[in-house]
Amino acid sequence: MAKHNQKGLDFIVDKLTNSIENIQTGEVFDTIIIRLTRADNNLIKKTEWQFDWHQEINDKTRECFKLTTVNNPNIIQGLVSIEDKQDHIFMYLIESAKFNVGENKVYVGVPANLIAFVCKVSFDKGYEGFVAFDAKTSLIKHYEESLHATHFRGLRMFIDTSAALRLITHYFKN
Amino acid sequence: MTPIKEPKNIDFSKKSEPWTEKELSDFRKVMQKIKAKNTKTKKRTLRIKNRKTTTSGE
Repeated sequence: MAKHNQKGLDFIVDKLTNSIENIQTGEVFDTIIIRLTRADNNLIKKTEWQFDWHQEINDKTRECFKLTTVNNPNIIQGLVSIEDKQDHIFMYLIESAKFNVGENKVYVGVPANLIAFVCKVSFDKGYEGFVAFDAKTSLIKHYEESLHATHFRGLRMFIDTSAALRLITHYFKN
Repeated sequence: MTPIKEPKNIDFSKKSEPWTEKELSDFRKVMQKIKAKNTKTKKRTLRIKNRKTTTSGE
């Protein structure tokens, strides 16, 4: 990751306490988020993902991250691809693993977990938590309620400082 | 802390299309306003904090 600036708010996040929850058992598992590299290509089978993550990894303008449980680092629960826009982070792609999608999903909490991480990256880079992304029309209201995201126009949405802080404090300990 | 759960029928998988120059420019104006407000709030908080420290130190 690029060198982080420490300007902006005095908010230092240094300990991950992320977690996802097994929808059947209610069990909560600690998770970690790690930068995705070409070495991970073998963990990402193209048929199991909607988006072309191999292409994302090769795109030098973007950074990709994987979310796994601490105990099972070889099973990817979700992926996110971001771009540094110099004053905010643009969330280009976000995808939960096939088994975390739809009515029979195994774990919940993967997307919010990844988005909280993206907000953290935004703070670390000195962008005061700003994250921009697109939403499906039907989900704009849901993002406003669950992520406290702001509807900008059309499908465009963004997370501002207060919403980012809210997400980060939910997932990370100072 | 428990994770923020998405409803069963909602999946966040999404590809964002690049924003147009106009959209980015308008977004940056909004962002600048919020960031300026953040700075003012931060300065005010620091002033109050300093005042409290000075008062309590007297």
